[in-house]
Amino acid sequence: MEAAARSIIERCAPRSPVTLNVTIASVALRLHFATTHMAELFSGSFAAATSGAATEAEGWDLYIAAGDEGAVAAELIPAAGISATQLFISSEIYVLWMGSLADTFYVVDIPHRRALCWFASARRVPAWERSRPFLPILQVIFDPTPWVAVHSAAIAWAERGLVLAGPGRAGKTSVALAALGAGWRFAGDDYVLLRTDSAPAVAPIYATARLRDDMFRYFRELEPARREISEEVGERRHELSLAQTPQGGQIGGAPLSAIFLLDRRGAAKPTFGPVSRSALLSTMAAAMAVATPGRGRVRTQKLLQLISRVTPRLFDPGSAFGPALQALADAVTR
Amino acid sequence: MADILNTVFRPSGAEIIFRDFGEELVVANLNSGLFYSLVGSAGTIWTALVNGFTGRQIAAAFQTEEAETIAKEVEAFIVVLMAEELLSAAPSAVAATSLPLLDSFSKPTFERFDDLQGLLLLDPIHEVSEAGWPVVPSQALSS
Repeated sequence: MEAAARSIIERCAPRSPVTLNVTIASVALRLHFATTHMAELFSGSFAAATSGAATEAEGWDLYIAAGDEGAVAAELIPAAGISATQLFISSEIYVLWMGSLADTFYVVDIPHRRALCWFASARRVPAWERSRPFLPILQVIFDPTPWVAVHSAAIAWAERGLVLAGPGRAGKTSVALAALGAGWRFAGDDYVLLRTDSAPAVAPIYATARLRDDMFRYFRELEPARREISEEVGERRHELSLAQTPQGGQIGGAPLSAIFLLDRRGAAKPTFGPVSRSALLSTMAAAMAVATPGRGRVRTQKLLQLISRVTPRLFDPGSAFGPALQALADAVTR
Repeated sequence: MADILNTVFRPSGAEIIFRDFGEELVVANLNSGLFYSLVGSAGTIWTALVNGFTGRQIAAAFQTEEAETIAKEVEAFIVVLMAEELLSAAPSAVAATSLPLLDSFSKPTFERFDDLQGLLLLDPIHEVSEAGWPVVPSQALSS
């Protein structure tokens, strides 16, 4: 498996790539796309990206290729009948086949700081992958660091970052986008990086947001940021890229002051309450294990470390965004 | 197991991780995807157990006239922890000594959270060995 993984990265690495340089927290990534078409698919996805020649600085090289654009990868394509997610991990190699979610695999050669994201077809890249590209690879890259990518929204007010955790449909995206509209800093609505050591912080990975169709009417001003409307399991989403919009300047991170588990219980006004750390961890770890499988022990330990420093609370935003944001601002500046 | 109260236990594997936050002790079983919130005496008992004390020693350390009642509660709690595959007997281990007196006793219970387990049941992740997974024959791709 290790030899196959290394060989496939070598073979699928584009010969004349379109390169994009991305900096995420302390890591420099050089994204090498096989074709202009593939580069366009992910254009505007990352929070801090510059196009042009690859830099020589120490960092990671991530190759992006597709089977229908010439990258042959038979060694890692599961035989018929294998639909579930497949994972191989050693100290040096990480290989993930996404199984039923997408015909995609992610390969990381850790000692050589190289990785490959391979799609069976460049024409069938899922909307969620374009919104939060290469996430399993990024998680592996951050494993030896204090950072971990988590399924949460994050915003910041007065240099104080706060995380909004919760399962799907909890309201993370709408509260985060309302905060963006009110002048807050925006670190992400879906996956963000959290620094879990003695200097807790939040940092953006992506410049995207995925807004449910029924919520779009509250955010008409973001129409210029819409790349497409996707439909997955019967739910329409407005896929936004904030990178080239006026709001793009508000994307950024901050020291972390608070973690809230969103729980809409029908309150008219925003309310806070206690929450067990186990409940928060269970929610965060569940999404992490599915979107970025593997190394659960290391990643859960990071989350445990984080919530030993920042006590989580329950937050019901109530029925209006304005009071909810005022309550959050009060909570982090008190 | 014949004599649970006199047995030394340990976490049942590397996939059991835990951390004591004072007012709450969190235990995670990364195999099953279940998270547990232990509060009050449950956290105290867990900490003493994984530090090598027996249920009998722990029950005695609560310093109450109802020692036998507490011993039964501790035993029942250990049985539950074993059933959840969080604890297993430590073979040929010798019990630790000098357990300090413990705070007042409350019935040990926990709350269980199963978000991860639910998702893993829907979309299981198969971790494979060096041999990898069966792959498409390369002739099939070129034909």
